[in-house]
Amino acid sequence: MIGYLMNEQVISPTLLEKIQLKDKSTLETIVRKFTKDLLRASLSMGFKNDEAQDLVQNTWTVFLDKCNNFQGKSQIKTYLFGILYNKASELRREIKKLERTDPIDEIVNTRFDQTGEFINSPINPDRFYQISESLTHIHQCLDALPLNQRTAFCLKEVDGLETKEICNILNVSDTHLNVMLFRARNKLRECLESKAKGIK
Amino acid sequence: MISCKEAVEILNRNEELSAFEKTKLELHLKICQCCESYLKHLESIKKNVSNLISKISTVDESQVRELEDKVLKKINNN
Repeated sequence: MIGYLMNEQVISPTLLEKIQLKDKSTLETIVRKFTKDLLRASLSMGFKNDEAQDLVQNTWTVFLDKCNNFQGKSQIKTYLFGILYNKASELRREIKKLERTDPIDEIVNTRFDQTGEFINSPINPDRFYQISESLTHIHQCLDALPLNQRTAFCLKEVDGLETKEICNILNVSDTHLNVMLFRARNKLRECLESKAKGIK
Repeated sequence: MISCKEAVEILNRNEELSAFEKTKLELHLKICQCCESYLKHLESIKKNVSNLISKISTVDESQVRELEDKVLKKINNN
């Protein structure tokens, strides 16, 4: 985890001690409190129901295995989501870290002329809205994102989490998070725009 | 006056904008149809991805219960 983001104790010492000692009733409360969130997060990442259930179980296995070393420097939920994200990346065999280059960077660049003005206008916003409102279209475009970009986008734009928290979950710096979000948004935009143009 | 490329870059910022940046952006958006459309696209994406996610991540309570019980069984067996 990233040191400078993690130096504050955010969990009460009593609760922390109970977690570290694997106190059964404390663990039960935690499992009852967060299983639903974990399952929903797995489904949001695009996993099918049974895969999502396995992921949640694997997340808890890791948590139970490691909770005697839990330092309480992030919220329990953030910590759990971090584990879930690691497990999900393993399952998808995807790179968790930021790729140095991504084709979308170049695609966005080609939208501008030498003075930095748009060469062609982005399509009519009402038309764009119509296309993105179709669940099939937006689902296809979302499924085309790599897991790290999709997760970053959902945590930020759907769940509205703070940047710091997202960085902790994904274990990236805020600069890297910004790049992931830029790529996610612009891929979704290009994908939907091309669908709009294709259908007409 | 900032270019479209700079405006797009600012629209993709995730931190709070400075007052100066805000003014530059607002001025640009007032006269630039392209960037205004771009901004509206981002807003549509946010809204409709949220709709989609809430649909695909709906779970029924009994399923959650069952999953919790499985996990708790493991804890109690340890």
